[in-house]
Amino acid sequence: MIRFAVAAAVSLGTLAALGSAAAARPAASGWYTEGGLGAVAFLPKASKDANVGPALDIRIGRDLFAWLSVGISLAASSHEAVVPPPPQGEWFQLYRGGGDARIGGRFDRLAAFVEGGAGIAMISSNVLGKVMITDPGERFSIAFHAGAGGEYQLENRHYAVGLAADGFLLPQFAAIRAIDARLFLRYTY
Amino acid sequence: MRVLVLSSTLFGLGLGLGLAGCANDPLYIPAPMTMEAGTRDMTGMLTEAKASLQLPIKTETASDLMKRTALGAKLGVTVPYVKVGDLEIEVEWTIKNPGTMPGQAKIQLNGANELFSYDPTLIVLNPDDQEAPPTPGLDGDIPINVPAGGTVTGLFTEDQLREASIDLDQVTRGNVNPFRATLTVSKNATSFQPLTMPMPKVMNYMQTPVGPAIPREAFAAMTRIDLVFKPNTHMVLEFNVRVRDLRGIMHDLLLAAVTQKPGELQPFMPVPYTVGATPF
Repeated sequence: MIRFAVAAAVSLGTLAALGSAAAARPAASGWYTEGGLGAVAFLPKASKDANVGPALDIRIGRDLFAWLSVGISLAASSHEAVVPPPPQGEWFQLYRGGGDARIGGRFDRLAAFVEGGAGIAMISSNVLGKVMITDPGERFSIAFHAGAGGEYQLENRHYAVGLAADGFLLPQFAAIRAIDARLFLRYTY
Repeated sequence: MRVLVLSSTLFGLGLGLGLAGCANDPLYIPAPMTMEAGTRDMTGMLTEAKASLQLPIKTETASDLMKRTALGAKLGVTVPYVKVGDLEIEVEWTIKNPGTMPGQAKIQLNGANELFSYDPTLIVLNPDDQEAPPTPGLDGDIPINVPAGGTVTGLFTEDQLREASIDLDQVTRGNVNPFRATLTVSKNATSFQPLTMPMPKVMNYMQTPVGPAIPREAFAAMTRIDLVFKPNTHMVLEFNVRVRDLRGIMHDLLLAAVTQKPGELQPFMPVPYTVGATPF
């Protein structure tokens, strides 16, 4: 726990230091939208019941300060269920939505951030009920997520591309954990 | 303002796509038990296994009942609560052969709608002819080779189940000969004409049309899945019913509702359809 706190403090300190160079950044600030494509992979034990699947992420946010922004995000991913047959070859979708905060800093064209938040997740079917991940009638779970990423600012001050990875936890779905990794395009108004 | 409009549009698009994706999501209902058969009984005959799965359907709302009654009055026929097109059903199965010898198995699909159940053993079309072919099931009965120690998976598709639902209604409400019903493609039929009851013991008896034709809007859908498992050596069958609930009438708890909220399930009491046999 102490090691984690020290690591978090060092990370935030580094990001804050990066944030002090914000004055030189060639990037717009304010409202922004992000669209990302990537993949979601479940961590054990759920990894044996659902394959890695493609994911789509949409985010809308607002830079409050140079180092802090808040936003809401929607994500959807599709996975093949690999439960003991039958059924076989069936897919399900996982939808996630929530709010989060992002702390970061910028150094010229590069930026880094850490983010975390909470929201709600919905699973499209009960196919994972066979392996007791969902209970009868259960479709929704609280979702917690946290992660980090980096951005590269393009010539146009409105656009940036980036790479991010978030881990998320769904307590109601047998506490399954997964990693959502994505490439994204950000547009700041 | 422009920012908010654009943001709202993007967010709405995402939400809309998500909700559209949910409207047609399948439900999976695992069979309550595995079916084991293919051993010899006391008389030396190969055993068969039978299983039924009643779909957990919510009680009919007053509004639905009124609409159904009005439609029935307009069409002049009985309109069932669960109609063809309300549910798209698929049955997925897995056969395991734990033995050391390869074998063969057949799976016969039967079932019931809310009005009648169909069991081919209760339909004897040629009581005086010992060599007459047995009355067919609604689908299946195709030999499946299962290797020693192996597993074979397959399914009855949504198309097959829709065809079986219509065949069941044709046979039971329409008194259509089961051979004719199952050997003709009716999944796109717009109506069928009920006939008088078959009378296999009456020489040269001809069935004649009776009552109005039943239009597709009044076709009863299958609400119970019955399987008969017929292996020639010891095998185990597991199955799973996949339902796309297009009308939103399945209970959220699925089979758990039978024990947890039985009062919220529509009770169906289908009458066994019989010809030349006595229902058990």
